[in-house]
Amino acid sequence: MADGFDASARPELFCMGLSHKSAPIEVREKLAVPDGQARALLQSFAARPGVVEAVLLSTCNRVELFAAVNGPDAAEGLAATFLERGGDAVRPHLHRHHGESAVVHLFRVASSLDSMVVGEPQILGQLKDAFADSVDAGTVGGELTRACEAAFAAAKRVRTETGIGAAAVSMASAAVELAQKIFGKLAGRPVLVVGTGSMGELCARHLLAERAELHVASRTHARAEALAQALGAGARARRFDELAQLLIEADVVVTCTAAPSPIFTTQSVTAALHARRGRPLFLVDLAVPRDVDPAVHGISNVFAYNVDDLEQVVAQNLASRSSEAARAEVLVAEEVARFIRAKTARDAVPILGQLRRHADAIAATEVEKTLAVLGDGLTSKQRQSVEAMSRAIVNKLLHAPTARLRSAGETGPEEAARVAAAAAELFGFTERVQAPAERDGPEPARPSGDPAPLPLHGIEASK
Amino acid sequence: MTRALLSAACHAYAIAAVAYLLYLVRMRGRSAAVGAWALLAGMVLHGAVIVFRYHQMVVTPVSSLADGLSFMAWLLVGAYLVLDRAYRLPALGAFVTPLALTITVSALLVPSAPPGAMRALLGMPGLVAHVCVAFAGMALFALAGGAALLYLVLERQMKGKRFGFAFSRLPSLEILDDLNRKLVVGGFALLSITIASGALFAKARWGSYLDMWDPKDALSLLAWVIFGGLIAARLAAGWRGTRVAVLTMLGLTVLMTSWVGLFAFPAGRHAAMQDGDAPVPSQRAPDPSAKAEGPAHG
Repeated sequence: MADGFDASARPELFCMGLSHKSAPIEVREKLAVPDGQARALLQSFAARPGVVEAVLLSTCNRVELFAAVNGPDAAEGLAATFLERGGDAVRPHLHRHHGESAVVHLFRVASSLDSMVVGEPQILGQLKDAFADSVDAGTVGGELTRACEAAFAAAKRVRTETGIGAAAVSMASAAVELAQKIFGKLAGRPVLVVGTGSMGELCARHLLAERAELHVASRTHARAEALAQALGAGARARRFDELAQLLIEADVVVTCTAAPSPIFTTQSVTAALHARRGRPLFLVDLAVPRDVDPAVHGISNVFAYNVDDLEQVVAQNLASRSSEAARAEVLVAEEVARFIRAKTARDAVPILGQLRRHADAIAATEVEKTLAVLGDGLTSKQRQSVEAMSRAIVNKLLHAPTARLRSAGETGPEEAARVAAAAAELFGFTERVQAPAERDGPEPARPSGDPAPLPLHGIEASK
Repeated sequence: MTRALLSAACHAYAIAAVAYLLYLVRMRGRSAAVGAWALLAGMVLHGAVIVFRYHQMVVTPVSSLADGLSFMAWLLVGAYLVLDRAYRLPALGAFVTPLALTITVSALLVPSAPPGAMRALLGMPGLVAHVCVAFAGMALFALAGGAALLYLVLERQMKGKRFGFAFSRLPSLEILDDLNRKLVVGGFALLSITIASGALFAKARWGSYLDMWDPKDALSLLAWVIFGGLIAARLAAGWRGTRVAVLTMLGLTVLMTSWVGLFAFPAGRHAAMQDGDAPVPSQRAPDPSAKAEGPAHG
């Protein structure tokens, strides 16, 4: 157990990789990790000397490794793995973050502040998946688990407390946003797509994602069928000569045809509106030249938006995002500070980790013994109850000493050493656990280029 | 004691109002939740005041102007909380809560002793019910007016293609229109009951169902025609959205005029009933049914 303690006493958080900010796409594709290879690559990173824990995040905008490392050689080892994979061209684009800077980077990535489109929601899910994969691969331990969980919490706070992800920032998503502002939920809403232009298809996919009911019509029926097929279930092709009827059925109409003159005029829309009994109609005109006569927008309960209008919505939303992003940065800074404070307290009193491992090991052994005695007589639910009980006992017993040790860590190094010594004596740890650095020999020099000194080494002050 | 309780309810409403306005500015879900809980707490305290006054002091919710105002605010808050449960409408809360707060505070400021003649009349359970139903209808119409106002604001932005403050904070046009429909139908039903019961009561007391020279009779009837026409147009001609919202605001204005006018420029027989110096009803209405009631409470 003491060995494990040595290795994981105070690993430093570290991040290396490249993103859309540091590298152009030609370089990023050299490193891109195909689905099947992610685990092997992760393990080759984790196998480098000095690397205690590792999480590999690979998306089309970034390939980044978050790690907990010991010693200065680890960084070089990780860089070597990156270069093996991507070649020397990758070297100038690799960014590195140590300690607090790595925490900041992790939190900003999770909160979508480092994304190409700031506020896009996918990145958090991708990071969660990456973390889960690393858990499966057995490459994460306490440090990264705590860091990632804090990063997820920070991202959630950013999402709920700022408007960063609230507004649509592409034309297709802006069209969906407007449709929702008129109709509320779009599930089951009949949507008509006229024409098979690529913008129309993109918009259709966004609407389909909201589970709208899609009807596709095109002057060339075969094309409508092909598009409906490509869109999959939930979309079906309709005849172009049914257009007048479709205008009565559909609530949202997306047009993207190459027609030289409008196919929807005030007359045709007014006629349809009569049959619709006043139900509102939303027309999204993505075609240039336009498919919808602009005068249609003047009809009561009809909303007609063209490409320029949508562009304007997007521009407005982007502007509001950047102001929300400033607020989000403040939240992230708060969360980072909180995380660092907790880590400092933990690191200042290394006995905390040892205490925890000691207790967990005892509990695990005892549970194993008990289950072995009870044998197959227990259902899996009962087994889980036994395990839960042992965890609960450990947690409750350790709660007071843990809290006391933490507060001692926050008070100062002398106090930390004093309380840690008392705990070591009471729990029967013979070695002087509170100052592992003394046994490790001189503190290794940190890699050059390291930003501000890390506040993760509270114990140094006591030496 | 009821004053202290009512003042506590006002404080809760004030907290709710601040929370909802904060929600409008910063869009934090937490502010909206605080608003809803504070409003619920205020409503419970407020409800206790109304029940206590009725049970211990035999003051009905509509015996005096103060009680009437307080009852109206309570109904508004209650109706809003029910809606918020179903639709999550913190934006409407930012409209309703300050309104309810204002009404409740004014209830604390006006005298709460029922005028003599009014006390006599309101002793009759049928008439109390008539006024209570009128109040409930008014609360529903006030909420419908709020929904209509929000609809017009959002529709204006969608038509103008300029999205401001309100855009991200309001529910969809469809929800606002649907809300308007339900509230107007509910309010219309209550208004119909109010007018019918009032007419029966008037017949018994004064011998005529309706007095078109009584401003309250006339305006209530006008509002009934507007809302009735609105519902008919919805059903028959598929009217929706803007037109309906504008009509709702119009109907609400007429109805509010009939209420406010009653206190500001008293005229006609509704006003006479509030006036302490008014002739006792039995003198005005030589109706045999009135004789039993008049002296009993006089």
